[in-house]
Amino acid sequence: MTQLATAVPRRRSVSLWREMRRNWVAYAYIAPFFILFAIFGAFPILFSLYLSFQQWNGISPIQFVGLENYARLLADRLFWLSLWNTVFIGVIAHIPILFGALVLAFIVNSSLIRWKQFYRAAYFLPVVTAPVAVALVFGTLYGVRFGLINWVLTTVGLPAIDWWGGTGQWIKPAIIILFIWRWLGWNMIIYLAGIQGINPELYEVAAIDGASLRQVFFHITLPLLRPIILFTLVLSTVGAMTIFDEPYMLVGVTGGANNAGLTTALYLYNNAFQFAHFGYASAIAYVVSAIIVLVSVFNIRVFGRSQTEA
Amino acid sequence: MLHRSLFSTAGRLGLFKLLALLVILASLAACAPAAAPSSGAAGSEPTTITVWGWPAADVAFESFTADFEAKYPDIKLDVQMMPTADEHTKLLAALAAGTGAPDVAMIEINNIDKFVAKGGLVNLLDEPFNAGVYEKDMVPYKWAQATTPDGRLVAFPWDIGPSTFFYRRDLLEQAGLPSDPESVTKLMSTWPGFIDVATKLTDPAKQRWAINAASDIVYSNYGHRNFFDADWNCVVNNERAVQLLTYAQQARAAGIDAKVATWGPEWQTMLGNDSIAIQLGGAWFGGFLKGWLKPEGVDWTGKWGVVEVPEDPGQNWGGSFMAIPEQSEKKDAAWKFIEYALANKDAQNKMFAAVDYFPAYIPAFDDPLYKEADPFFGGQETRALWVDIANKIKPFITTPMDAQAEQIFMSWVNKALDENLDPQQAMNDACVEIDQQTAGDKAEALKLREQSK
Repeated sequence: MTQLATAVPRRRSVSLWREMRRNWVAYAYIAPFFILFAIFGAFPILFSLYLSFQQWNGISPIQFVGLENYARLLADRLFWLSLWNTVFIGVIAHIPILFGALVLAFIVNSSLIRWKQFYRAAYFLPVVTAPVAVALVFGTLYGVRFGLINWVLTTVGLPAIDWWGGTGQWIKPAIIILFIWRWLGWNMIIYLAGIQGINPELYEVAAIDGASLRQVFFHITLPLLRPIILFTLVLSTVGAMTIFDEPYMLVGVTGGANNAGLTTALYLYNNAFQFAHFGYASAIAYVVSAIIVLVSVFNIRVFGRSQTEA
Repeated sequence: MLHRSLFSTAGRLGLFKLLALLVILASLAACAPAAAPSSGAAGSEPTTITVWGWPAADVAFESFTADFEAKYPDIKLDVQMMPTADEHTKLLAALAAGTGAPDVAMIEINNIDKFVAKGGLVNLLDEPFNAGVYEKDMVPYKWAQATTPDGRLVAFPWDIGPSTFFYRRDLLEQAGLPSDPESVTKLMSTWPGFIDVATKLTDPAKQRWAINAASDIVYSNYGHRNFFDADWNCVVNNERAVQLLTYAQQARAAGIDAKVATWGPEWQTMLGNDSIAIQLGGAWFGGFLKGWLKPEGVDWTGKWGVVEVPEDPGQNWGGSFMAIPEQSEKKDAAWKFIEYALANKDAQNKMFAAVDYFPAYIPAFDDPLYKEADPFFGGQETRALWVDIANKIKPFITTPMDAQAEQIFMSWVNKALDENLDPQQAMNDACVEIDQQTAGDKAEALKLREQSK
């Protein structure tokens, strides 16, 4: 046995290769994904890591600059502002999104509601609506002089909102409202799938025992949804740190007054595609990725651990 | 049994060899048709050149395509239109990748600095293009904009945008003001005069404002240019910029601007329902008013007038270029097209008549077209006015850092307006930030400039 064990690593690689050759048809079938991933996923990821240590305007020869891009980031007021904007918008928007989605999923799933399919579709609709249409509709809602919201406000005697002016104090709320509207239904559908995966017998038992709706929600639905909640938290972290569409639609590439709507993704886009600073933009991308990984690991630790205890 | 033996053959050959063979075959197949026309270019085979641009360039090209094809029967055009921003992003990507670029690409004034000072585009001063012979025929600042720090010409001038204020004659009359261009020019010959007229026009109770954004007062003198001096030091904190910002703040205080961003849906609505009386724009804006901005069922004929920008009328907003990527295999045909379209009085004026793109080619101005009264503008000779303004435009300084500088500059202008900051301090702060953010690009471009000396 000991003799065999020493020979294992080599034998395994040889036999793996042989296995692959024998089953090459199967590998050929799954190859398209890996080939596409290598070209459109792995290559850009690795290339932008390389680029983050270079200076490159997209056309001229690439120049190695070491850690200069990262050093510049630390001193860049706009980068830190964009990071603060992103975290602020992400955190504030996701509180109602995640809680709201959970409650909505519970309600839409409950046997007391009629026309469930209609509500599910209605809440999910924003996710599949084209951004151009969203931009038009919200442009009309948020109009300063001819906007629907301001019309309602002035009709009931309140002052109109100067959405884009002043110190930019209304820009973040405008983005947050749009963000909530767009992503509430998405999370609701994920929670709904999770809720439907819970054994219905548990609910029946709870009903027999005379548990209230509130008790059912907090003692059955919520604990059993923990892995799903973890999943949405990780997705939300990624979504929050890469917010782009919403500020781009509402305030454009600069982020509006005082750069109040300048998110990190917008700043990255600006640097790469407006100013052709591809190296610097890649450094931004890697810092954002690092933050996402850190937050996700934290989430997994917190939620993952308590689940194993349970 | 056939498939069995096929599989085993493949097995023997080895998957990777098979794949490699497929790749080679595929690339051969892809190369073959591309190689054929270039080898037979001397013959009668027609050459198709790909032209990238954005609307309404397609309409502009159509106005002379028949003449062009009569002169060059062996050149065919494949015109591909896309949104302006997409076109520039795609072009940058194609140049970086070294493949996929068109034979002729349009480049807009806002984006030209992204391409100047970099490789990827043909130097049109070289043989066989010799574009240098047209330098004396082009509006000088336009030529300078497409010239790299080391003296190459990477794009050929198409059109310019002599800036004017477009105003609603009927709305001025309603406010008890004269509406003929001569009187309005006189009233608005200074910025305080402009603000005075604007104040009389504005009536928020009737949902009416003179202009959409007070920042236009500054922007009128600073669109894509003059952010730096000849040594590329930031100069937007100079007396002129601070003075204009002060006027803009006075305009904001007087409440004459609707505080609505240009180009948004709300802005378009307000132009359509008489809520904005005056709008800054290049000559091309006239084409917008006649076209997509005009609300349905409204006849604007005779309702608009055009006057020059107060105090320093020689101003420009917008305009574009055409360039040939290095990777094009049909550079000769591409240059023939550019030369025909842009260094040609007849084609330039046909495009001008079709879409209001004002020629950068000076000989084109000597044409009866420029004396014509335009009924849309109440019979005003607007084209003669724009020629006059084009002649007044002083040489100005453009740099490879302009796109970023303009974004920072206008952010500070808006901040100074919204928060009523001290104008001098705001412009000083703008310069600090511009210098900081553009330092890398500046160093790179300066190196290029030094190398050529």
